[in-house]
Amino acid sequence: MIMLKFNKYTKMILSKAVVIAVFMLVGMLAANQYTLYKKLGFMKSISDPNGQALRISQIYSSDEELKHQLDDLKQKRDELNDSAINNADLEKILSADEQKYSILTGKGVVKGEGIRIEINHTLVKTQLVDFVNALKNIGAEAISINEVRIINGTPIAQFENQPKYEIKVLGSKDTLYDATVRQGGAFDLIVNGSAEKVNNLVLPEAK
Amino acid sequence: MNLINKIKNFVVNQSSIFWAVIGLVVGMIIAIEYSSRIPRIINPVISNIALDEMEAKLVNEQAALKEQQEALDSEITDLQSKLKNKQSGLTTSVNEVESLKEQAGLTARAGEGIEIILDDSDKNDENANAIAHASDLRDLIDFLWSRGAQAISIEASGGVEERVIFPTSIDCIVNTVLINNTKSSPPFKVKVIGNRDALLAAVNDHNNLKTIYDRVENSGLIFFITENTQINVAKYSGNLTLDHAKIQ
Repeated sequence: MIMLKFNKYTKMILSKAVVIAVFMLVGMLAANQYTLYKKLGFMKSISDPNGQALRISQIYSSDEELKHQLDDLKQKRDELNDSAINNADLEKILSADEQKYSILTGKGVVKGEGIRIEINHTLVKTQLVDFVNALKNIGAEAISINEVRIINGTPIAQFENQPKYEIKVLGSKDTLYDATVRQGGAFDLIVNGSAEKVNNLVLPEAK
Repeated sequence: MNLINKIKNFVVNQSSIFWAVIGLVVGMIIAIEYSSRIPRIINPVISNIALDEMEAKLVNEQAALKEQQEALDSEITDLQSKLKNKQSGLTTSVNEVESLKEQAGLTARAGEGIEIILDDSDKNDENANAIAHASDLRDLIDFLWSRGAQAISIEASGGVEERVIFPTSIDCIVNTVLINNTKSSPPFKVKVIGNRDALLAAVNDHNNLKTIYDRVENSGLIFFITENTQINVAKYSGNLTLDHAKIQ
């Protein structure tokens, strides 16, 4: 075994060299951390083509739905303008409106296709708020959490710290399911859970 | 030989702290030098311009569609009122529909309440805590509902106002907030109709919105309640397609 023997001077110089090397490394790490932090801060001014493309796709689909909705409104206006319209036709138009707005305001039990989500652990306020927001973004038409219907004005935070959750969501079952369970979807990013597609979900009316 | 001995003595005689400081400074200089290299463009610039143009076009189209929709909606409401007067049997149905529309957030509202401003820090402090995020708006709105808010809308830069109703989602994609799929940027004016005193007390209590108030103090995030007491909130004018849910 080779034993290196150093004199007193060499040992001292080596110990100083070790100090320099260690602190150089610390300095590099600190500076790197700082520049990364600054870069994260500058994220808002960075032009990100992928993010922009995603935004465009959302605005595009929103525009398409608006066009579809405009066509329906035009048809309704024309029908109302038609002087020959009788009471039965008018009742039909009003009934369709009443159904639509009743669903939005939670009046009456609603049914339809959708997904049933099970989460077997407690959730904090921010997880719940983000998860429900994600469901709405995907296209949820009606939501209930643990058999309580969510409508405009329902605070989501009231459901925090419950031991488990059953969330029913009406809407396109395929879109809702894919956007929830796929890699990078709502389960990946916000909560751990399982989902199943259901053809005839029933949600309670709002209290 | 004399010079080498002098260097040796210098190295040995200086304290470890001296060399630690030297090491730290050199390390930082190397790291900053490395990370400050000028980046090279990888993708063609034209694709970004095309995306910008497409986004601007779609945003303008969306605004125009919403305007048309509002006009048509008003026209239909007028027509229904006229028919209600002409055909008295329809009065109850028309009134019911109008009442449901109001509850759903499809009519403009005015009343007492509060107006909250949420904006990026003006200190040019580029860190994530100094920026108004979509998640701040989501948390704030959920909190306001829990404290008795009756109607809420968010007015973004440029006067774009979006009513918060059941299908509303507030999302962040890179540097832009989408409210009801409408591009919005700070400052955000959150308009809330409800009991002003109760809402003021709730929002002014720092324990209720701790994350936001901590960032106001430490990072300069802008968050305050204006003096406005009479609040006007716009009606919802976005998509309302319900293809799958039906009343049982």
